Amino acid sequence: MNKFGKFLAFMALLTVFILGVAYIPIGSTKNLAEGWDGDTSASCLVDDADLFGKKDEKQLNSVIRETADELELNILIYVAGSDDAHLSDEATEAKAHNMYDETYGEYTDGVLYYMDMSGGYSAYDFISTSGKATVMYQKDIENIFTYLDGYLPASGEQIVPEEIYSAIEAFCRQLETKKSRNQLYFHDTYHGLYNYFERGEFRVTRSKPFPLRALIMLVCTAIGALIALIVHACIKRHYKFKTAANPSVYVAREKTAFTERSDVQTRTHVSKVRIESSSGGGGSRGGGGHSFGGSHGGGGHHR
Amino acid sequence: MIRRELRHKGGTKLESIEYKCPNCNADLKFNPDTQKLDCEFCMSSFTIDEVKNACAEAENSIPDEVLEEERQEFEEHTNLYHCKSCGAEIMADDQQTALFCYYCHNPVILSGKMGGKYRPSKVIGFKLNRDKAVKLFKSWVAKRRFVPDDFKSEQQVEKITGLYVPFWVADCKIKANYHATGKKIRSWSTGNYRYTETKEFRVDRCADVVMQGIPADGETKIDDLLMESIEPYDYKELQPFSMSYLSGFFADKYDVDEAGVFPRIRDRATAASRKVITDSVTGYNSVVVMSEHYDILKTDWSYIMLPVWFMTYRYNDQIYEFAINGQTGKLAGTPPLNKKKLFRFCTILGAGLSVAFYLLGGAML
Ligand SMILES: [Zn+2]
Ligand SMILES: [Zn+2]
Repeated sequence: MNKFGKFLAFMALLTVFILGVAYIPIGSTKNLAEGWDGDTSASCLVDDADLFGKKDEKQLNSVIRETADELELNILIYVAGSDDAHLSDEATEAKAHNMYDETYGEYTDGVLYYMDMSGGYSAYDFISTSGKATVMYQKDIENIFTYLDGYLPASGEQIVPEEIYSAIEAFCRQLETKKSRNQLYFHDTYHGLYNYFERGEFRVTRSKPFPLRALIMLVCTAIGALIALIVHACIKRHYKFKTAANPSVYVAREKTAFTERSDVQTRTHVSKVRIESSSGGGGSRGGGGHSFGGSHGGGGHHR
Repeated sequence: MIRRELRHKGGTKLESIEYKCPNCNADLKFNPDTQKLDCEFCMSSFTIDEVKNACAEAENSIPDEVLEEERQEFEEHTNLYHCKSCGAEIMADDQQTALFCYYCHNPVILSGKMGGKYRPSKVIGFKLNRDKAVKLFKSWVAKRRFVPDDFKSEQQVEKITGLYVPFWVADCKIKANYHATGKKIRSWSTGNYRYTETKEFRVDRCADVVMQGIPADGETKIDDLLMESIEPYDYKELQPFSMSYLSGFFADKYDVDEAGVFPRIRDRATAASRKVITDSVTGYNSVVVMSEHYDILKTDWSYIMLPVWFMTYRYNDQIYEFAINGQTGKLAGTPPLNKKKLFRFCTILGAGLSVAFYLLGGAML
């Protein structure tokens, strides 16, 4: 085998090694995913702001349920009223996540759209995703919000029910157009859970998905290889010739004499530099947390 | 050293005077450009005064100690063996027969007698016996895991040969001339200002350096650096040569003369002289050398034999040489590296670490 062939064989072995090791799961592989129970009637609009009449609400519900059926997801659209005006952004997020979990259960597939119609001066909308919806929409949440900005009033502006109606319809259409399975996984850092599809099955586990494990293994192999290379170089150095004896041992000190030995100062030069004083930077402030149950993705948006 | 029959009147007829090089004994040539006498063999150059001084000293020194009679005896009692494979010439006394070449381990043939001029004036006998040499070698090898397996074998150890290596030992007088600029830098702060004071010094050093006993082996086959690495020998134990030292050991025939080893002697003498000078230049933050010259004015030679336990090992078409100082036990040599063995070890190490990092790091991330 020539050198190139050997190199190829080595790389092939290395690949097999990396993928083989990455096959070993890290952490529990227990699948927490609860899926979707097929009950479209559970998907609905909750109008706490009392924007819509009975007829509108019914029509919207049917749009929502159609979408839910199509996507096989729970969809809850919560229109927050003035009661929620005092909520901070964090509290809004926690409320959205908790409301989803209470309505449909933890680790089920679904989306909750929290529409802030409380009339506060800083409206904060939030989309909470759960189950496979995390993987389907995480990447596009910001885009969905941007799209919906075209329908929704800015903070402090007059809330027009017809506009909100269109916004909800638009949201449902967005859910259909923006769904994606291309994302490898969603990492819920709050609970340390991974949401991902594996061989067609949706999984929520503590164990990292295979592509991530392969990536970690690749990095570990690179570090391992680097250490091995350093060790290789160190060992190799021990197989080098040690340097020869210092010829200074042959100097006859008592017979060696200086005939001239002078150090004469020729120049002196003094330079002066102003000392620059520097001041310290400001400290940083951490934020508080709100707890919620099931594994969620999501994202918020200020209008 | 000066051919007396040549006239020397007021320096006008310098070209016609023949001087011998005080370092290597070759003829010197007058160089009109530098007004100095140059040696083409060892590339030394001297002023006329320097050569004269060197000659005056030489006349006071004892003449060739080795008597014709002793040379005769030496020639009679030594046999010279020749290796057809590597060209090595090995000498043994007439009581023993050399069978194999110490260098390439092929059979050798008797090729004649060793000339009287190869009789060394002095010798240091073996102090380290074979068992001790083998033990030293084994413990040295034990520390190296990645040598080829057969390098540790008994068969290999048996190849260790007690060899008297011919050495040219030089005593040199060196004139050192050194001029440099030294800088002393001091800095302090007062108020809002930082002051830096730079004092410049002219540093002049001239010295007459005397070096005694710089050895250089006269054998081209053995790596020069290897022989330098087992130095130094304690010359206090030098003894007048006698045939009895040879019994049980072999000796090498030199193939390089004084002029041939002189460049090596000069390099070492220059390095040592420079060290003498630079050691005397202290207390500076930086030193820039303006000029430095180290001229060897005179070299006295003696030809001696020094004891070496020698071994070669052939691996991957390369010959690895090992030597142990037969007096002090100092060992030198390049250990052969079994690259496959090392590669295997490093691969397993790398793979093991990767998996460990994966399991540990993966859980922590
Ligand atoms: Zn010369
Ligand atoms: Zn040979």
